Amino acid sequence: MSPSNGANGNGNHPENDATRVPGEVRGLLDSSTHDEDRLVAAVKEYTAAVESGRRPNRQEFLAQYADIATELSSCLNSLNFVQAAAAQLPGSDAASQIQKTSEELNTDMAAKPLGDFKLVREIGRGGMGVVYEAVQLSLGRRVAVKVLSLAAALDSRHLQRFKNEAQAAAQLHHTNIVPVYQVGCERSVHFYAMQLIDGQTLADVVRDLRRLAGKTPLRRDATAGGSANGANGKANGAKRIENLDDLPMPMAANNAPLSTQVANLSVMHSDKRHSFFRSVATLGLQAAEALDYAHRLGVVHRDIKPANLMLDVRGNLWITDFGLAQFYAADSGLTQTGDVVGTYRYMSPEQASGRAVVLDQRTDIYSLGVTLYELLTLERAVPGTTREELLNQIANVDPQHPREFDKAIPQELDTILMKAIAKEPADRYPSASALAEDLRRFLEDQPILARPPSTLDKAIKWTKRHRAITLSTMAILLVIAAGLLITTLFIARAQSHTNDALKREQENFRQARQAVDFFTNVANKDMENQVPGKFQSVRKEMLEASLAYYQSFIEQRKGDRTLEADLNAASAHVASILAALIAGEDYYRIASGLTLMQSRNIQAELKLTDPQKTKIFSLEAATPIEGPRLEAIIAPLTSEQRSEKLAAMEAETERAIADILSPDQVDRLHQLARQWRGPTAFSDTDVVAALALTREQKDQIRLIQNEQPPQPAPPTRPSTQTGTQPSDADRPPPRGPDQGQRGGFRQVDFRAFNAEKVARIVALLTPEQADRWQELIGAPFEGQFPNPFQRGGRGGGPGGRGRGGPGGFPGDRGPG
Amino acid sequence: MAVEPQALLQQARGGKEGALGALFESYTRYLTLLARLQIGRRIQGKVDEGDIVQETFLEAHRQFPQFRGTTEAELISWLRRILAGQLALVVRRYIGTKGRDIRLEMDLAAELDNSANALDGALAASYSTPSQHASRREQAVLLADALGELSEDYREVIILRHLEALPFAEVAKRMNRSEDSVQKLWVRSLAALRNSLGGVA
Repeated sequence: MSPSNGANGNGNHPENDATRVPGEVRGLLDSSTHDEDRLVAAVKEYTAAVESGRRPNRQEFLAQYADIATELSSCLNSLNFVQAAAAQLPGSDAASQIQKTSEELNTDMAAKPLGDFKLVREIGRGGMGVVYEAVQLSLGRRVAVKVLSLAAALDSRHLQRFKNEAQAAAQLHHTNIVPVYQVGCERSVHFYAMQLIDGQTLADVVRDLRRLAGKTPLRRDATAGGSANGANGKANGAKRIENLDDLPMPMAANNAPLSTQVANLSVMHSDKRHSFFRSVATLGLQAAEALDYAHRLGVVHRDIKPANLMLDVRGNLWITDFGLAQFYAADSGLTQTGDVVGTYRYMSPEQASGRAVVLDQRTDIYSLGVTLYELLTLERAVPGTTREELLNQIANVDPQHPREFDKAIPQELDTILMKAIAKEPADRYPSASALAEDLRRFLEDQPILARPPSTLDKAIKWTKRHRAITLSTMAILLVIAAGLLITTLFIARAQSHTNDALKREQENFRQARQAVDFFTNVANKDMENQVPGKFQSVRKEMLEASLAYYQSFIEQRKGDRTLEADLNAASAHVASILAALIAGEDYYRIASGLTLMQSRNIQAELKLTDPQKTKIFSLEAATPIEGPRLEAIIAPLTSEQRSEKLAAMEAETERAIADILSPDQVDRLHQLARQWRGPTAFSDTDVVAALALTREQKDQIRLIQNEQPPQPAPPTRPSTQTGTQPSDADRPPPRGPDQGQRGGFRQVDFRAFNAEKVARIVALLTPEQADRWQELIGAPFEGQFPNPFQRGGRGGGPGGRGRGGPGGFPGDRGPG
Repeated sequence: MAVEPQALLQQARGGKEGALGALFESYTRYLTLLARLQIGRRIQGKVDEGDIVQETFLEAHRQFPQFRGTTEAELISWLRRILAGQLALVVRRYIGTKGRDIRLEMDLAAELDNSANALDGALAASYSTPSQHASRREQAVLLADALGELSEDYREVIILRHLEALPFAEVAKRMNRSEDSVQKLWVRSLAALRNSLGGVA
């Protein structure tokens, strides 16, 4: 650790400072502490004056402190040198400089042929570079050449990826995909050549149709402003691009005021509405088929948007820029330009959140859905002009139904698009061919396969998005629903076996079954890409309850062969998920010890030797402890496979740790981990077993675990009080004295909050259990536990898992 | 610096042996400081800025043939961009995202520019004659070098107070000291900095 550290080590106490002071300065410091205090006061006074906008006259200021003027003067010199005035630095932005260089380069480019290609004129400009109309000299044909901006070409890793992707894209041969002729590099400029399409992009089409419909142009994105016109100032003969966020790569050789295709569409749009809707569906069908073809070859586009879909004069649709989307990221200098902001508009939620491990074909389905939505309604599916607005919209706001804009839009088309743009990938069409199939059915007036979401679907969606509020109440609802079932069944039994009663019983059963399926589903859905996380204990309880109810259903329905088999399958499924969940928790418990051992304080407590530290560090780095790395491993597995895999990983990690640490160190680590985890440790399978917790205790503990901290709160003890306040105040909380959260201002004092929870839980235990718990946690750790690392909003670390944990990094965030 | 960076750059272009290494070498502290300003907030105590800077140099070495700038300013911003890429790699490793995260890289590059601006800005205030203005970038490097000459505590207090712009109370917390002792440390550090800046300040 070079310059940053050392601040936390020992030997930093004030009395040691004098030994480090350079000779010249020591003289002054030796004189008296009084002088030094005056010096501090003087420099602070000077700083305050400068910060408040006055710059005191230096001579006068020094004169006030004549006795320490020499020292003060040298401090002020340094201060001036260092004083932050970040705003005053013009044009220092690296992005603009690189941008400028690429401007020059691109101008230069037009003069000389680029390999086999003679550039004729610029026809478009966007985030990744400039598109030229060009002539391929060897074949004498007109082509479009996209030159990547120098900035984009800077990073060799990205470059290699670009080449791979572009070459994969070059293998795509489909009537609706713009063919890539060549990918090349000349004079260290990277470019690719593709077919010149005589037409325009859907972004242009939407804009023109809006104009014709008498609507104002859609607002360009806020940040698009200056750079747009500045950068395009040199654009020649090419059509001006008005809407920068949709800044297309129009390989258009078309200057007509209104292209034929728009004219055709517009007639339909105004007069023959039905034909217009069918045209949109036809274009969508072509795009979906092209995407399906590419997906089958393993190529995901990732950047489907109106600007990347071209409509030629014959009304055919072409997808361009295959496989290039991820290259945008290489060009970080574009952060501030409208191109990237505009690109957000069409990003799928999983893409925009940046959390998806692998983006699959469903990201393209979403983006195509949004694109078609805009073409159909001529309105934004995702409104907003800034990145923040867009990201919020994408993550949290369901778009309006197209029919809310226009009642004439067929319900089927509305349903198809809404399914395509569902927030959850699992709710979308599973493949582009499924989307194509529904569009075809619509065009052939057959019933489509997508269904508008049922009330149950909506309920699931709602609960998923408001999981924090609902999951803890869900278990209670489940109990009520199932309780209702049992009651009604008894009533039905008690009544005579009339047809009527039988029918009612069956209906009751169906409803109850649906309720249990629903809750099971909610609990399970999370498991799809789930690793141990928040509300795990609730989920576990729910699954256990579901399992019990399935068992009772099976009991009730004995003799009904089909139903029995069905129920048995459902029950086995829940059981296996439950097993995987427990395996995941066990694994996480072991693996998180590695995270804990990255802390110096813990290393010191365990008396790790340097070789041990090194080994632990590499082991931690190599172990997928949680988050996407772990998801990537377990996501493709079935529940049964997950249980096995996680159990294997747990054993492996445990063994690896035991290879490095001594048995005593391992024991102490477990103790420390339990102290660190606080109230959540009471859900650990080993703790539950060791304490032999009763059902009632587990329920009470869970309630305490799930209590939310008061927000916002000053760092004082929260006053969530119940009747279970620890009676014996003698028992110390199993942590060292609270040292205050490191650097956390305005933050909830999780440390105290958790310590209080633990104390209350301990108060629930029998004396024997409490003693056993003391053995499990050992001597209280006096040092500071590390802050759980803030993992990209996943609510990662233990302790306050799911509720933010005891502070992230100082200043990074806060409840306010 | 014995040879002017501009001259070194020319020599490196010309393929002179060792010139590129010497050129990069002279930005070690500058890049280390930038890396620290970024990393400090993200992956406390888990990575070594020195390693990241080494990786950055390796990468820069590979990419040098594509570098087209001629001024030190261009060189620095180019190095910074490569550093952003390396930082993204490291951050991603610790956040555990294997896939590409567009936002992370964009955010990192933007933050890095901010850090660089803070560093530059620290120098802008008192130096605004034209010739000094022209070499402001170089002075950012000089500040980093001067800070590198200081003892750890001295460097830390300047970085926290002036480059991370934290209030004294917060600096004190981070350094596990009393506010009073941090302020004294600060003043001493300023005095010491004056020394290591030599003729510059």
